[in-house]
Amino acid sequence: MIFRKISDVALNVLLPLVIGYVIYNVSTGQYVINYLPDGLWAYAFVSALSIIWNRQLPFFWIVAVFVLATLVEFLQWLKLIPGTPDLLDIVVYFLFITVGLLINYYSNTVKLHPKNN
Amino acid sequence: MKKQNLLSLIACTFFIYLAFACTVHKKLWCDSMDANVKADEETENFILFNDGNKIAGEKIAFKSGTLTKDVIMIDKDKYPIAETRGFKSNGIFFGRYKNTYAKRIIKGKINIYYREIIKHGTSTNASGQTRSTINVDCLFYYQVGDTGIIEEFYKYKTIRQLIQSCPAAAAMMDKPDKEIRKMVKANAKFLNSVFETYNACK
Repeated sequence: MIFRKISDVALNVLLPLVIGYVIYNVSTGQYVINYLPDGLWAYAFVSALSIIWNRQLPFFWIVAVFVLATLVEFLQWLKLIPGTPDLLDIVVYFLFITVGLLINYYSNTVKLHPKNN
Repeated sequence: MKKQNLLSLIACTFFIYLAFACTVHKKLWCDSMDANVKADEETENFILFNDGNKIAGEKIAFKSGTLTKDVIMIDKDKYPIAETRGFKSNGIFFGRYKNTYAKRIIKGKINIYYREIIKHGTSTNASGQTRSTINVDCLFYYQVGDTGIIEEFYKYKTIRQLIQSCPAAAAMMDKPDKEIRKMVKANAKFLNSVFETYNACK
């Protein structure tokens, strides 16, 4: 059980963060550098919360992930923190969070109804 | 509070901290661009106002006080800094950013400005001796067009976004940050040339 949780964290939280970090520092493609690390951060974020809630993430925390993911861009737009706000960043966040939630839903279905899958 | 709620809060704090840390991670330092700018031959000094009007004069000075608003003076006339877009002194243009001015180092479709902040401090060595230190912080700003808002930037990502509509300039920045950093170290005019390429783009 603990081993399964550790491997879940390593695969769905740590690995996306490490890949994002590597892409940010090594990759050459403009869109890859600008958006993929952000997306992987969002995926790792929603995965971390899903793992904490044993893949049964309450609605409140789903909303919280979406709100918090856009917070950085919003604060940049308000000029409260330095940086350039980018609408495409928000689109990428939403896309990767949705992917994370779908994977979470699939994992949950497999766990609850193993014979049907 | 449920244990899972507490863990979720900790996770949120960690991920938000991570996002902020990445946002404010500086990539540009003092020697990232060549800030030496050749003065224009036209050396008329003037103040440029937000409405586009200019007032020419001979000497530009500043005055600030605890009870008065910061003002810029041209000869003996005073104007609130907030009412100005910039000024030109001895052939060099300075653009206003908030309540201060930054030197324009690149002119064109995208203008680039530069400002140094000198910080005085003290440090104590292992033997207890105290000495004064001076640290220089260098800030870079961009402005799209001559009337755009001047914004601070410090990341290669911002530069890539600014110049992406010009293939020649975008190709120059189409490298990993690590490599760009090496190129900037080897050639202090590299980023200047990226913006100059963009400004020359049709």
